Amino acid sequence: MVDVLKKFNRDVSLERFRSHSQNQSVELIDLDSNSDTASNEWKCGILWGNSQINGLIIVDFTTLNVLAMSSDIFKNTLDDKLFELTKDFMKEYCNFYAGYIKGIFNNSQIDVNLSLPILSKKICPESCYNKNMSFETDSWTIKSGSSQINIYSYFSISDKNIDLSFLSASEAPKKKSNIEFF
Amino acid sequence: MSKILVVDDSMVIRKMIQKSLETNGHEVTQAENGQEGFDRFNEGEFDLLITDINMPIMNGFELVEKVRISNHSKRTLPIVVVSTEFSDNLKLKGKNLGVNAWVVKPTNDDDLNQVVSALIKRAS
Repeated sequence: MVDVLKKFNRDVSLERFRSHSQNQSVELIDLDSNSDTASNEWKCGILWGNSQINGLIIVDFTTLNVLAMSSDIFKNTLDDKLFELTKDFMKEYCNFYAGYIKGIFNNSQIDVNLSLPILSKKICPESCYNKNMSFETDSWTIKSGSSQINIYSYFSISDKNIDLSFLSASEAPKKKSNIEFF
Repeated sequence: MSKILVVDDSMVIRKMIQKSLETNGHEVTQAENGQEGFDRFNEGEFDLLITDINMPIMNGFELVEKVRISNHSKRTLPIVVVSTEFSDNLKLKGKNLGVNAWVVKPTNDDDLNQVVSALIKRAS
């Protein structure tokens, strides 16, 4: 169950970044634990879950790396707006990523909620879990050329009977938008 | 040319939608949350409202509800939700509140302008 959720998380993060950045060349690799993350400027996080299962996603990024990885999005942006827009872009990425997780769970009759994305210099995952709570972790890198963002995923499954088999059958996020008229 | 109010807390998304709509000759006003969107709605005469759902201060559902029960002459204007949310229960909630179309992000220019044209034509 844990491995299925980890794989699902990784797949969603990659496909969501590809569509959000309009950059199909980005790829996912395991995080190099020796990589220097001290120079990463920002962290963007979002919480999702309910009383049975919950998760926290933290994306570690520098604005320069995001600009390089999403150059098509920012090509006509004025210089003085670039860095603010890049941070906003990553908040929307977290929303986009966790929103997909929420949708898949909700359509499988498991209601989960989302927080708003949080942008900060530091986000401490321990502050989201109480001392007695065990949680799973996973981390990976999404990269394009020499630019990258690092993603840290934390989740806790309180209800050991929760059925997550639908995650194995879930498709990767669609690249095209979807319209429904009422 | 139609006057369109775009409400989204993401500046990047507002700019992308604005650029796409202006390219097709529409006039766009932006707001960054539901409350600001409702203020802009009350100040103007818009032909269509595009809103996100998850926003600080006032979310998109509250905005739709306030617009629909307001006394404004344009309270029946077409409303499009553009959101990362796609669960069936949320779409049903939106439909019941008076949303006319639901677009799941990521959007592209063609889809956005298709939904805008269809709803403006239906309303006129």
